[in-house]
Amino acid sequence: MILPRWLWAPCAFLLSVLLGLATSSILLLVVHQPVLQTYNAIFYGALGSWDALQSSLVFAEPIAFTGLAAAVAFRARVWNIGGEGQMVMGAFGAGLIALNTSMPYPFMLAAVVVCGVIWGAIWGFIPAALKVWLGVNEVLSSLMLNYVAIFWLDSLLYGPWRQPGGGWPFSAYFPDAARLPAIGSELDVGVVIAPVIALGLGALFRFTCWGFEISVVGNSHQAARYASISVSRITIMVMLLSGGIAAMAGIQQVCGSAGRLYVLVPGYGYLGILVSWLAGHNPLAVLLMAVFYGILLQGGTALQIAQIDPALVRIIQAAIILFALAGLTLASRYRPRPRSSTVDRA
Amino acid sequence: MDFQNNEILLSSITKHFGPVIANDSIDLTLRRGEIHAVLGENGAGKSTLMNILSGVYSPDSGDIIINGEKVKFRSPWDAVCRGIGMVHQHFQLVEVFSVLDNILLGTTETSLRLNRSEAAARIEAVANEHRLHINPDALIWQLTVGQRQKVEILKLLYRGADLLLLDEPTSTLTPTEADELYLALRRLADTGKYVVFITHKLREVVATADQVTVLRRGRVVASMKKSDTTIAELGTMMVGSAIPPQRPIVARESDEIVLEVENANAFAEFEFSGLKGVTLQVRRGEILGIAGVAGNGQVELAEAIAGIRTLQQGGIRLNGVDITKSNALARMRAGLRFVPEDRLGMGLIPELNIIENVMLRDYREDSLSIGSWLNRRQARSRADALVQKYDVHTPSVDTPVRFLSGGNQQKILIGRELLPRPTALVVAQPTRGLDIAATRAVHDQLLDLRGSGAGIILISEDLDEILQLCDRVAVLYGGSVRGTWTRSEADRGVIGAAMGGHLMDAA
Repeated sequence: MILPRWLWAPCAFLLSVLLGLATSSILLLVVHQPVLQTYNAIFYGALGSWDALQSSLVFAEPIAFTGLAAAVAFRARVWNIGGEGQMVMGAFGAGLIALNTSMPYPFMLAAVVVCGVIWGAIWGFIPAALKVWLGVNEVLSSLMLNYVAIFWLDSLLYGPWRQPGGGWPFSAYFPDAARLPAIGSELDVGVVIAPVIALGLGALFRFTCWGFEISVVGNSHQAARYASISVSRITIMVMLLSGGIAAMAGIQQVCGSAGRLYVLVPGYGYLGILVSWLAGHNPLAVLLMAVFYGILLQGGTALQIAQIDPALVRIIQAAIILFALAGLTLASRYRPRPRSSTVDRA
Repeated sequence: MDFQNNEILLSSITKHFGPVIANDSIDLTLRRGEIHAVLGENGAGKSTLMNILSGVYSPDSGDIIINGEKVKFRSPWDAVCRGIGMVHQHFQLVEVFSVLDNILLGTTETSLRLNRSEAAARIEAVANEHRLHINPDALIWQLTVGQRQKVEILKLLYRGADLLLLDEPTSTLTPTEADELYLALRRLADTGKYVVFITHKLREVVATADQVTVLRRGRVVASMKKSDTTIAELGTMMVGSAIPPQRPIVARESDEIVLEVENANAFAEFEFSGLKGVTLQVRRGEILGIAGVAGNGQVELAEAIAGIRTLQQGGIRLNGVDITKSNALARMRAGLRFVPEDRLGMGLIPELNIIENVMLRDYREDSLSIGSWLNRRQARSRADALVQKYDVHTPSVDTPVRFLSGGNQQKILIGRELLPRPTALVVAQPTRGLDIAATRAVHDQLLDLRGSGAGIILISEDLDEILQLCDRVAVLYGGSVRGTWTRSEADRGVIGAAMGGHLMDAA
């Protein structure tokens, strides 16, 4: 049986997930946990009902944004590890407007989102500028800027922006005009915006000159030089866009159901990197992988509610992801032999 | 039996790579004291055969018989132990080590203690015996390519090699160095070594070999004494049909200068030489050849003209217009195109398909994009047209370029650069690694362009190619031009000497 080429990745992915589950089963058996019951709990907790699915999507939403952000940068082989910081600065930018100004509804929300995106883009621009003009490795600078962003927001939340009279590091609630419209009980419009951005990116990569330049730069700097494409220009533009999209993850978290600034749950920025790799930096696949990861996270929550050791939950998640990463890598590397006979060797 | 003690036999060696037969029941007889040339085009199976003989590959079937004894090599080390040593096309030397250390590296010394002076004396003895003198304390990076090759040979002899395999040994040498190598090989054969070299250069075979075996498509076409054959006959056997005569080159008529480089100075690429005051002129309908050994400024010169490397000093004019400050895009639009020598690193993107590679430098042009949107349909039809025009063998234009053979990749690269009918073209190493048919196709394209009145700079390490095609030849050595000769004055010996840095006369 010969599978068509485009089916390899999905099949490899499914197979890897099954292998991951099989490996986890061995672990569960070793520690005397009921295997089927555990998996049942994951399934019902993450997919079993509309509420469960919604909870999974709540996890998936920020990951989708940071994943898309990572995909933009990685396509140009600009290693933006700063999704986390750009996300936090997005939340900061949103709070800056929401807490300090007042405007009628559509203008307020627009200003909040634009300000957040600009701050995310600034956080992307700094490592890009350091790289282009001073040759600083963007991996290190973007990573370090994550901590700057996190501690900056922390200092505001423990200081001037803390809700008057409150003991927790929360800001005051945003005015309603600054809130994202809700969909269902837990979700907001971010769940629609992410696919729109993904489609936009897909079109950008495939149908525009700029997308073509990104893929040239991502494949070979020498070829880019040869084609008179400025690697510096692409690096900066890509980091601005990447930072702006990552900021959406932060904006969505604070302007969604939370409705105020808080110390963001750490890790979504890094998960975006992972998800982008799983998706081969393809924006539409990033969405699917973000949902998949959301399901894993929500499944983990469900297991904890079912009194299973959280460490065990993490191990199951890690096993599945490792297998998926390996499976997808193998699927993209492996080439069928017969190809060489169809290509003339002369 | 006596003759068995002086023969190495390869008997019906067969090797498959997937569905491709690289070697199809090949027989080869090597005799002591003889220089044996294995002649064939790229892809004829020469390298596979040599890799089998040196233990890198094991054959699917067939035997290697040394002195009447069947041997099986499980690794290159087994072959080394049987006295078989290979000089690779790309030398296996540590650049920052001395000659002595490189020779000692990986030897079979049993004791842990390294006795340098004793080893140096032994090397000295070996070098004396074969007249291969090299200062053992010199560092490899200080040596010329020819000297490095001597170190490689010395290394094998020191390890007791009885059979020397050389893979395309003259491909990076100047003609003078090549002549020295031929002498050295002859001396080695005279002292009773087996010498085998693989090549696709007919002249080389005739210059040195005693015995010739011609391979084509993985089979032995013929094996004979050199004295029993001629260059023309060998060429026919290698290609499989008579080589069509070279197209006659009509003398140019114009004196109008298309491209002019004046006193160009550029910084060096890593370990290369940069440009030091290069001045060149190319006229309409003229091919100017740039001869020289790799690393003498060719890359810098080509990139500086194409506009992807900045000049520290000097100027470039295209059709009388100063383009020194223009970027690559402006130069392209002014009719200057460039075929870089690094085909897959710069000229093409192996992971992208043919359509995208055809767009690579021209996606901004009106026909391929509308505003900032790509016109992929137009790009596809352009790619289709190019594939058809140059007879590129490919399943489709959606195939990534890395799946194509070198010849087909080069057709796409040159086809793309010739499509906008350039008035000036810089082309570097256009036929490296191509077989004779593909080489001819490339040469025809260049001659057609020359016929249409364009000025062409042809940079090549292959002196034969340059002498065949060019109206004038300039030699680049150490980043500067060491003389220019017209077609009628061009003399292999003089040009070869200039390539090695020697000027024979004040030409």
